[in-house]
Amino acid sequence: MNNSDIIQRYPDVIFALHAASRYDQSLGRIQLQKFIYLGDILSIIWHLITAKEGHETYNFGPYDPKIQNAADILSFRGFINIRFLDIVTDPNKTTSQYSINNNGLNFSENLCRKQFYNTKNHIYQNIALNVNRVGWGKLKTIVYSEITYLNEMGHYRKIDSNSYSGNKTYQLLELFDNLTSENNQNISKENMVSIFFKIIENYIK
Amino acid sequence: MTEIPLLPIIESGEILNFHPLFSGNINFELNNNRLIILGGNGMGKTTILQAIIYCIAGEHNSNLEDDTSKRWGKKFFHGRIDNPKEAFVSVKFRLGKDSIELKRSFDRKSIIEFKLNNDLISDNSHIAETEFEEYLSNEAGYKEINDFYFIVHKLCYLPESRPNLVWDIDNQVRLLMLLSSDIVDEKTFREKRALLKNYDSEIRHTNVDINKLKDELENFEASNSKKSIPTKTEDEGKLSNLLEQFGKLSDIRKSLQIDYYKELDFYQEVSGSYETLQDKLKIAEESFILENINQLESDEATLAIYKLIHRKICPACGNLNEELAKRAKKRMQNHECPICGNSEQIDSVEDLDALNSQISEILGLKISHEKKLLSLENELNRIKNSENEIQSELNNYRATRPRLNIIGDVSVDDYEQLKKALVKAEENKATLILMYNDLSDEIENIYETFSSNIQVRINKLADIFKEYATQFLGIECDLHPIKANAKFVDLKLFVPKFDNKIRSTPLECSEAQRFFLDIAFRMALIEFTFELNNQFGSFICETPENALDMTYISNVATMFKNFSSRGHHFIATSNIQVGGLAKAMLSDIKKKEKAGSVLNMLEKARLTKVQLDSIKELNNEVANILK
Repeated sequence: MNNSDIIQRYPDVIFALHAASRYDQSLGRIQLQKFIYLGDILSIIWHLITAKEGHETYNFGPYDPKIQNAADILSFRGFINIRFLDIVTDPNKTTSQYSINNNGLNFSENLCRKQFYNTKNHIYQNIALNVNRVGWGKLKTIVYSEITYLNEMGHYRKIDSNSYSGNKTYQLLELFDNLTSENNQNISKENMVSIFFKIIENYIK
Repeated sequence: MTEIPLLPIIESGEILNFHPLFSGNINFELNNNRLIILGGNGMGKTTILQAIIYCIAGEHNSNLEDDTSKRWGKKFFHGRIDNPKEAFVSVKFRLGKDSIELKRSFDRKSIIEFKLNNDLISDNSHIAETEFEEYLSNEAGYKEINDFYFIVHKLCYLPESRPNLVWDIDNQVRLLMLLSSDIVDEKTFREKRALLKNYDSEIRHTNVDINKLKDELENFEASNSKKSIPTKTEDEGKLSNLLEQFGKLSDIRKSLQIDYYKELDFYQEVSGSYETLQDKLKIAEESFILENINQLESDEATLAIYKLIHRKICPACGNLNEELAKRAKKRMQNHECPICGNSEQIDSVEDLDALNSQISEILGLKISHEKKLLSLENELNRIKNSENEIQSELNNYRATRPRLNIIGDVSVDDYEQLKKALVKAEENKATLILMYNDLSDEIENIYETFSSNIQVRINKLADIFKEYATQFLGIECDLHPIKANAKFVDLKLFVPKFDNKIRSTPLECSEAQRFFLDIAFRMALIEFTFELNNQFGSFICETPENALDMTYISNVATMFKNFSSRGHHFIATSNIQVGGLAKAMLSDIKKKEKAGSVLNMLEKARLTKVQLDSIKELNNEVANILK
């Protein structure tokens, strides 16, 4: 992991926290990982590429250490806030919650001057809209039910969300798109994200 | 030990008692990473190069060359030496950090002395070669000594016959695999290809047998038309039906495989462009992000770095620290991290959105090829399953029918026996086809895995080749993959492309282009090995100087000088002639050091009368070269 790889994750952290803030949500360390994982998996719908060496499939869900490093750096430099909370069930442990601040919002705004980041931001907003519907507390469950992760779980592999064969969710959504396009009714990108969440919702019920 | 083979870095050597070609012993050293062997016709330039190669890598024998006319060994030297038993060659070279010294006589082909880091390991000709082989496999990344000999003969040496490596699929694949031994087992791949060739030959022989048997049957039927000829039994009908289905499936599979590899070629080409763009996008992203952060940190008073630069407050402890602030400010001006001083990439010239739009388009293409590949793969698996089902039925049939033992005897004139022999031959053919298909699949898989794992390396090789080849040609020249004209397996051959034309065969290049683009390719491969193991190599070149006109002399010399300036060594021959290559190849060396990089054959060789008559002019030209 080099510095460039971590820097590439700054916008993901900023946009994820920005999107969550619209629903007055701050994100825990694990939630931030999972939220950005969804961003990685769903960006291919827009043909927008994501970090080259992204999440790995650890036993406890997909994880990318660069995201944690990026969040720590952005926090140190003053673009996001970090709040430590005591864990109710264990007085010796704390958990951290990340949220965006005004400097982070300015940063987000500056990044969005480029169409590339504007699209990325749009994708995170879409994901947040759907997560909000399902429930922020279910973020981890949503990711654990995602088909690419289910397929790779426990193999300690890098997930290549930018490839068709590596991204099973995209294969599934394409199938829906192909079915409807036979009736000349292409599904919008935003609706594809909604379909993804509907499938997951149905699965985790 | 290294997984990537180490190439020899030749340092010095001597040739002893090589009479009458040389009047005294030949001693040479590579100073300034090079040695130019300077001489005229018949003075022994080629012999010296060949002796060096012979010493390091032995004979160019059947292990290395299928074509008998291209093989050579110790006997090559015998016509040039009075007493082969008394003549020797020894060469000192490095393999990575180790210093090696090998000695061979021209009387016997094996190594007679092996020194490692100046310690004598063996001077027993029966043991020295084995010791050297053991060293190569333990320390130098070679599975066996023949791999080392192959690399030295085929990559590090361009002989007088100047075989083209850049258009030679078998040698190119073997070298690329040997140099990527961390990814693929070259020997296994080669042996499997040889076995596939045998299967193919057996299938063709079985076809001949089948046709013979059919002719015999037809003749029998024609001459016995009035007699009653037995009709096919139910079992025989089923069998011929199965064999027919099996044949059809094999045809479908072959056609699908052709489509699959075509698609794979497209996919790999697109993937290559995609990865290049992905790297560019990463740099552009980093640049844009840091530029924005720096801007915000210069303007926004609540940010930690702003406080450090403007108010001199340490972001960790909150105390005032002028020295820290001064250092941080200077670092920011130098595009470095204000705290630790790591350099930051903020000078990308690429526009992020333009790159994104290119990469989106390529990603779309990549996805579409991936989809086609997956669908072809599924279809191939379906056919393979059907083939296996039929094979299993055939096996059942074989297990349950009465055993017969009349294979290959086509002279039998009994109708029943002929029919049974035909069935047996067809069964043999079906089994062979199945074995052929399985092995072919296995080889394709090995090559496919190798090919995809080596893609990033190939991009690097192409970049290096482009640099050398462009230096020679004076116009942009790329390395382009094409489908090789290789039997039995789809392989990729890397050939030059310039003037928007892919040069698929050497005939599409002039003589000079052919020779020097091949040299550029060899240099690129040696440099490519350095990229993998961080160790230099050597190139020994029978320079095709006569193919060059004077306008290209400087370009060729630049290519060689560039190669040695990277740290690689080269030994090249050159004629003593006005405006020749030698002077240009030495132009980057100080005058007083030039003589140290030249082996002047006028002082070593037995000269002819013609040469003796012109000795003054020849010496003057040597002096001019060393000026």
